[in-house]
Amino acid sequence: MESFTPSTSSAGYTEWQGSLRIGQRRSGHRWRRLLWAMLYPPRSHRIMPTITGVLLIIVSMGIGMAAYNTANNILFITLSLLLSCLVLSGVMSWLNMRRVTWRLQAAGPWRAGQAQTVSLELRNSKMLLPTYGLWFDIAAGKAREVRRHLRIRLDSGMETRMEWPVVPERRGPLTIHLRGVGSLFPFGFLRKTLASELAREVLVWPAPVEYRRHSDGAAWREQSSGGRVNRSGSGDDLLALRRYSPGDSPRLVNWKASARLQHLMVRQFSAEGLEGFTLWVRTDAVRWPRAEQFELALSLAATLAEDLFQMERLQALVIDNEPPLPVRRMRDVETFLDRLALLEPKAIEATAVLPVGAHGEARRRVMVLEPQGSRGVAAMIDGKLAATA
Amino acid sequence: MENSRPQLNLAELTQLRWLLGGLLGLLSAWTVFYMEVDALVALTMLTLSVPVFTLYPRLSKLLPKWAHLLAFPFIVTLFAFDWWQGGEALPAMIRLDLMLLGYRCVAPRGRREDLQLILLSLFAVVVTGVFTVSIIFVIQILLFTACSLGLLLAVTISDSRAGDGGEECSGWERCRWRELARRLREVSDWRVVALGVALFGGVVGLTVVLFLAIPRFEISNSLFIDQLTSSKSLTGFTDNVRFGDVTSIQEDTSMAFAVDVAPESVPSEPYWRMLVLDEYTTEGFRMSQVMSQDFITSSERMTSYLGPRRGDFSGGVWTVFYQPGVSRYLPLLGAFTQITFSEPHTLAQNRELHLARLATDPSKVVGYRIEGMDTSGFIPDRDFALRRAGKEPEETWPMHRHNHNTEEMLPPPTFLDLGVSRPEDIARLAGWVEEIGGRREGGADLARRVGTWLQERHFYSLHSSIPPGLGDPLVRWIASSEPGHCELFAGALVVLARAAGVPARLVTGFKGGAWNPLSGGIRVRNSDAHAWCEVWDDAEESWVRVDPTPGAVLIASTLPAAAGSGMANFTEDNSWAARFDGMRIFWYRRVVSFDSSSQVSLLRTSKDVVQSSAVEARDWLEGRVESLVSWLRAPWSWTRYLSFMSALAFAVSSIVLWRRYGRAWWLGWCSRRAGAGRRDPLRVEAARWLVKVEAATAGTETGRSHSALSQVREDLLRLRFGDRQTWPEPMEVFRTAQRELRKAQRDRRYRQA
Repeated sequence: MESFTPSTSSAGYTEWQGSLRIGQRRSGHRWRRLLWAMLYPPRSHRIMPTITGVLLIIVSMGIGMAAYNTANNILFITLSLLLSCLVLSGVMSWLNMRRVTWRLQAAGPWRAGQAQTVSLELRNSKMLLPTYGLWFDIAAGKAREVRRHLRIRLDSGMETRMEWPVVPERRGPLTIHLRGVGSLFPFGFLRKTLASELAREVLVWPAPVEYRRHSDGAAWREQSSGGRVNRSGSGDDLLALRRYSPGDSPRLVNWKASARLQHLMVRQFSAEGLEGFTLWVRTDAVRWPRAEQFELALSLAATLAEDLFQMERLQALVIDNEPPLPVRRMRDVETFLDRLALLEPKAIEATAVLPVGAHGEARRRVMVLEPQGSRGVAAMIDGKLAATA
Repeated sequence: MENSRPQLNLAELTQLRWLLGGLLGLLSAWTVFYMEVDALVALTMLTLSVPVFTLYPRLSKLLPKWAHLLAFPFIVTLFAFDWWQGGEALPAMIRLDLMLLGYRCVAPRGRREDLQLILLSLFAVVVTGVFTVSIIFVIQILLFTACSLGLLLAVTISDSRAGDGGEECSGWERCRWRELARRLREVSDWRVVALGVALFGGVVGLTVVLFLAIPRFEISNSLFIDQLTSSKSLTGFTDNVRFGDVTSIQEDTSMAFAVDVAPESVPSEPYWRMLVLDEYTTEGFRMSQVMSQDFITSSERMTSYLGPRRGDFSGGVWTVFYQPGVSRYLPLLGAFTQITFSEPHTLAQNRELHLARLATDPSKVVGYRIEGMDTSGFIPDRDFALRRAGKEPEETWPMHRHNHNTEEMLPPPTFLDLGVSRPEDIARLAGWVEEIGGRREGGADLARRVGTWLQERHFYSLHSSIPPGLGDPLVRWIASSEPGHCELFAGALVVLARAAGVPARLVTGFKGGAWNPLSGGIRVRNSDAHAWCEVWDDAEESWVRVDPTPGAVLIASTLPAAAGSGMANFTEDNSWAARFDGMRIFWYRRVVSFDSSSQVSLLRTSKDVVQSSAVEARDWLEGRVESLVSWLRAPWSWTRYLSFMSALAFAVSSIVLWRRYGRAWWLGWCSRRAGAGRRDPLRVEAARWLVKVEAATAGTETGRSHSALSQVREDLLRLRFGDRQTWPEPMEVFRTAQRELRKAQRDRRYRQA
C-alpha cells in the first residue's frame, strides 16, 4: 500500500511520504490490491492487538465457545457483532491513515550539546475525513526514540507541524530517523504501526566552548602595517566581483554586471583595519594523545573560527598539511566546521611549517592549537599565547 | 493551514466520556428488567444514583478515598453472602454485576475503569438476551454497541490528547451540559456524522452477514447458564388447576404462543390441549398420580421425538414458538407423528393422554415443529376401549405405577371417580342425570344433552362465583342459577357424565387464536386460555371433545372439514400489537431458530434467487430488444416519425442544456458551498484543464495557438490558485480551453500531415 523511500531535498526537508504520496496516482486493479493488502499487509505494516484488543478477542472466543456449545443464536449474534466491531476498527484505522503524508525537517546549524528542533510537517490529503491520534517515533542517532502524539484533529486538506527538541551529544554525523508512525485509532483494539525508513542526515559541529582570551599578550594587539589588506571584508574599496551565493546580502548585488553576464554577481569589498589570522588545526595523534583534549581543541578551533570571522580577522583556515582555505564568506567557515565535525586524530606526524597556499604566498600570524597541561588547550599566535580553554 | 472547525478540548472529551459511561451503565442495567431476577433493590439504587452522578460529576469527587478502597471487597462480600443465602448463582451474579456497574458509574473513571464498565455492561446485556431470547435484545445490543464504540472512541482521542505530557485535564467535573451540547454541534461536521452513521449501518450489515455465514455444527450439550438458576413456573398451567385459575390466566393478554401453519391445515375450532385432569376434588381438578406417572421421559436431550401417531404425516406442518412462563406442558391439538425442537430438550410423553411436557419450565422461547398432528378433536385410546370391554389390552398396565404414600400398585384409571363424597350430593347428581335422560346411546349423546341442560340453567360470565353452603362446590353451582366460566361448565359436565357412568375428564389449554396476516400464522394469547372436557364414546372408541361453555361448538364434529374452512373462524388482527407480534415471530422464526439446516436452505434459496434473477434479467433484455426491433420494423407513419424525432430532440436538447448551463450551475453551487479550506470543485475542474493545456502548450512553442493557449493557461492558473475576487468567468474559461485545445490538436495534425 505504501512505500517508503528516503530522500532529502536541499532545503532541509525530506520529501513527502506516507500512506500515499502527494500527486501519486495508482494504476489499475485498485480493489484487488486493496483486498490483497488487507489479507497480507506489507512487511512494513504491523498490526498488533492492544490489551483492549486482546480482551475483545478473549471475550469473542469465550462467547464463540459458548455459542457453539449451546447453539444459542443470541450468542452467535453477539459473536458476530464483536467480530464486526473488530473489522470496523480495522477499516476506520485504515481510513484514518489514508492519504496522510509527512516530511521531516532538520534545519541547522547543529552543534554538540545545543538543542535544535526537528520538525515534522503533516498533511491530510483526504477529501472528507479528519485524522486523529497518530503518533510518530523519532530517534536521533543512537539515542532512545521519542514519541510525539498528534494531539489535534487534522481536518481534510489541512496541514500541521510537530516539533521535537534534539540535543546531539557529540560532533559528527547524526541521523534523525522517523522510526514509525502508529495509531490506536479508533477504539484502541489494534496498534497499527507503519515502519518508516525516513531519515535526515545532519552534521553536528563541535560544541562551542568558553575560552580565555589573553589580551595582555602581544599576539592580539599587533597591528598591521597600516595598508589595506587584500581580503574580503566590509571596507569601502571594491576588491572584486563574484557570483552570488546563498546568504549574500541583496544590497551587494551588482545589477549591471548581473544583467550583462545573465547571472547574479555581487560586489566584494576589501577589509580594513587589523590584520587577520590563519587558523591551523593539526590532528596528529602524537600531539593529542587524550581524546577529551582533542575534542576540546576542535571545539576551541570552531569557536575561534566563528569569533574571528565575526571580527573579520579570519584570513584562512588550514587543517593538517592541506592547502589553506581562504575565508571570504560564512560558507567558508561552515565548510571548515563541517570538516572539524568529522576530524579524528591521525597517526601521521604533522609538518611544523604551515603549508603554502595556491598562490605560493607565505602566511603570517598563524594561530595554532597546542595542548596545555593534561586537559587544557592553548591557542598560540606566532608562538605567543593568545587564548586558553 | 489551520483547521476550520473548532475541536473539543480534553476536559470536554472527559465530560463526553463520563456522559457516555453513565448512559451505557443505565442502558445495560435496565436490560435486567426483562429478566425474572429479583434485583429490584440494586436496580432501583442504580437507577436513582447513576443519573444524579452523571449529571453532577463533581459528586464523584466527594467520595472519600477509603470508600473506593472498600468498595470492591464490600461488593464481593455481598455477592458471596447473596449466593450463600439464595443458593442460585446466576441471580447473585446479576446482582453483583449491577452493583459493580453502579459503582463504576459513580466513581471517577480512567481508561481501565471505562473498559471494566463496558465488560460489565456486555455481561448484563448478553445474559439477559440469552435468558429472554426477546426481540428487545436487538435494540439493547445495538444501543450497547453504539454507546460502547462512542465511549472507546472518546477514550482513544482523549488519550492521544493527554499523551506525552499533553493537555492537562482539570476541572472537567464542573461541566455544563448545554455548553457541551453546543460545542458538540460546533465541532460536528454533518458529512462525517453521516459517514459515521453509515459505518455503524455497515457494522450491523456485516453482523447480519457474519451471523448467517458463521458455520454451525451441532454440539448437543447443555446450556450451562440454564443450570445456574432454578426453574419455576411463573404463571400458567400446572398439574393442579383450581377453580378460577384458567380465568385468571385469561386476564393476561400477552402472547402465549405463535403457530406457523398453512391456512389449509387450520381446523375450524383448534383446541390446544395441554393438560388432562382426571381427579376431582373440592378445590378443583388435578392430574392424578397414576396419570402423572404415565409420562415416559426420554433418557437424554434430543431434538426429535416420535409421537403416538405412527407413520401418518398428514395434517400439515405446525411450527410453534412457545413463550416462557406459560407451562412446561406443550400445547397440542391431538396425537402427532413427530415433534422436532430447535434445540435439544428432554421430553416426557403420555401416549394415552397424547400429552407432552418438558423436563423443566422453559425460561426462554421454545420452538418446535410438529408433523402429522391429528386435529379432529377425537382422541382414540384402544387400550382403554379394551379395558372398558373387559379385555386385556396389548400392553399390560405397567407395574411401576404405585402410590407414593402406601406403595400399593395403582390400577388403571377409569375416569369414573366422582370425587363427591356427600351422599346428598351424589343423590342430587343422580337426580339431575335422570332429569337429563340418563345414558342412552353413548358418551357423545349424553354429553350433548348435559351440555345443553347446563347452558339452559347458567349463563356465561368470567366473573362468576360458587354459592356458599355445605357440600360439593360444583354441585352447589349446578343447583344454583349463577353464571359460570369455562371451568365450572366443563367441571359440571365431567361430574354429571361420571354420575351417569360415562368416563369423562377435564382438559385445559387454549382455544382458537387470531390470524396474523403479517406473520402469516396463528397467534394465541393467554386470554385464549380455556377449559373443556373429553367424554368417552364407546362407539367411536375415542375420547370426544365436548365444550359445554356457552358460545362454543358443543361436540367435535365427526365429519372432516373442508380444506381451509377453519380460517373462516379466525379474525384478522391488524393492530400495532399484531405488527409487533409479527416482528417477534420473524425474530423467533428467522433468527432464534436459525441453524445449520436453515443455513443450507438459505444457501439454496440464494442460489435459486440469483439464478432466477439472471434468467429474468436475460428474458427482460431479450424482450426489450425484440420489442425495439419490432417497433423499428413496423411501418413508419408521420405520427411515429414525429414522436421519434421529438424524443430525439428532447434528449439532445437536454444534453446540450446540461452542458451549457446545468453543469455550470452545479459546479457554481458546489463551489459556493465548499467554503474556505474545502475542496472547491471549480478549482479541481481548473486543475484538470490545466494539465491538458500545459501538455498542449509544450507541443506548440510558437504561433497563434501557443499564445491563445498561454492566455487560457493564465486564466486557469488564476482559477486554480487565485483569489476568488480575481476569477474570470469559470465556465467561459473552460469552454475557451476546450476550443483552443481542439484548435491546437488540429494544428498539430496539420503539421504532421
